[in-house]
Amino acid sequence: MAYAGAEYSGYSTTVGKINGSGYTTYEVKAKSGANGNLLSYYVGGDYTVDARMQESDGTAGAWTRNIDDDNFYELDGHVKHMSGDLVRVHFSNDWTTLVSVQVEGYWRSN
Amino acid sequence: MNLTLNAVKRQALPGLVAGVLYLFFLILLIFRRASDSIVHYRIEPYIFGSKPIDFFFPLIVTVPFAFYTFHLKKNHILDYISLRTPKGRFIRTHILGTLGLCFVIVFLVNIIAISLSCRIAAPIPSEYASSLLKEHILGELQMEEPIVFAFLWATHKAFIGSLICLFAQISALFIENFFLAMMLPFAYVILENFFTAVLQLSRFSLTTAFVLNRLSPRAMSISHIAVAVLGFVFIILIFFYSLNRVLKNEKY
Repeated sequence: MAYAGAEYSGYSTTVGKINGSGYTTYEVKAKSGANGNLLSYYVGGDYTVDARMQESDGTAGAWTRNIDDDNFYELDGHVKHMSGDLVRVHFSNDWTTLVSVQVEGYWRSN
Repeated sequence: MNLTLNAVKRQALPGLVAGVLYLFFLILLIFRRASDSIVHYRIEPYIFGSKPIDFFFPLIVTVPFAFYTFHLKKNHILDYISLRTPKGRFIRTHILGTLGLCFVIVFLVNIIAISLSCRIAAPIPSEYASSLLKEHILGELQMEEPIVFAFLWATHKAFIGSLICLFAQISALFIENFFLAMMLPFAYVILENFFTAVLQLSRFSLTTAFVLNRLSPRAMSISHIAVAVLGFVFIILIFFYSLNRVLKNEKY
């Protein structure tokens, strides 16, 4: 199920250890190239993670690094993310994080 | 003094090779991170770029510097040295010279890397950016005076690197198996990182001490890092005295 990009949708996912990944569900991009928003309210175990917006074909915006609990972040939009495309948030752990990390919050692709 | 300088000269080539490779890969990652990440402050490409290479930091500060130490013991060169110089004195000055070289190399590499990061970064102003670094240890300094912070951070990281190098020197002198002697410090740091993570004590991990802004700001404090470093020093002392005792028992 893909949500509309102008509204916030919740996420709860596990980010794999040692540069591992985690993903949200897809949203439908509302505006071409627009930045997304991320409301991170939980990142497990005192760790921080990185996040970026990624389209279903793999193209992604720049990474937003060191995402922590209870903070608001902007997610870089990619010029190839057009209105109507399916995009999701791609989370990544650091190399020195040797355990999987749970992340929860809300996001929108705009 | 001559003995210490000779120790530095002997270790200079492997140390320099390690330093050049460390700097090369760090610069590569800094450039990569500067282009694929949102950057708000000049020091951030260094912060982002140093994290992948910090996974291998224990190897960088051990193998190049412990290789020759292992060779000294394995090929009984220490036995011949004792004809001219007391063995204990030679080993002490050798280790001192090696640690000094390791300290200087790690210090210089990180100073150069942070300076480069400040030069190439193209920060994007953002109303959300001000809180991102401020909460970290010396966060204001990281944001506003990154070069000043660079000297403090490079000194700290070089000190941690020297401690890990000391651990490697001890394992090289006491352990017969080459692979075990070289890999033990790296294996220790990885295992310690893993067990502190599982026990939710990452704030006290040695890895947290040498990876800049590794955890959430609320988990990082100078006292936590001090606990991590002191804990590691304690482990080194236990390791040294245990191996020394085993060696003495074996002689009798």
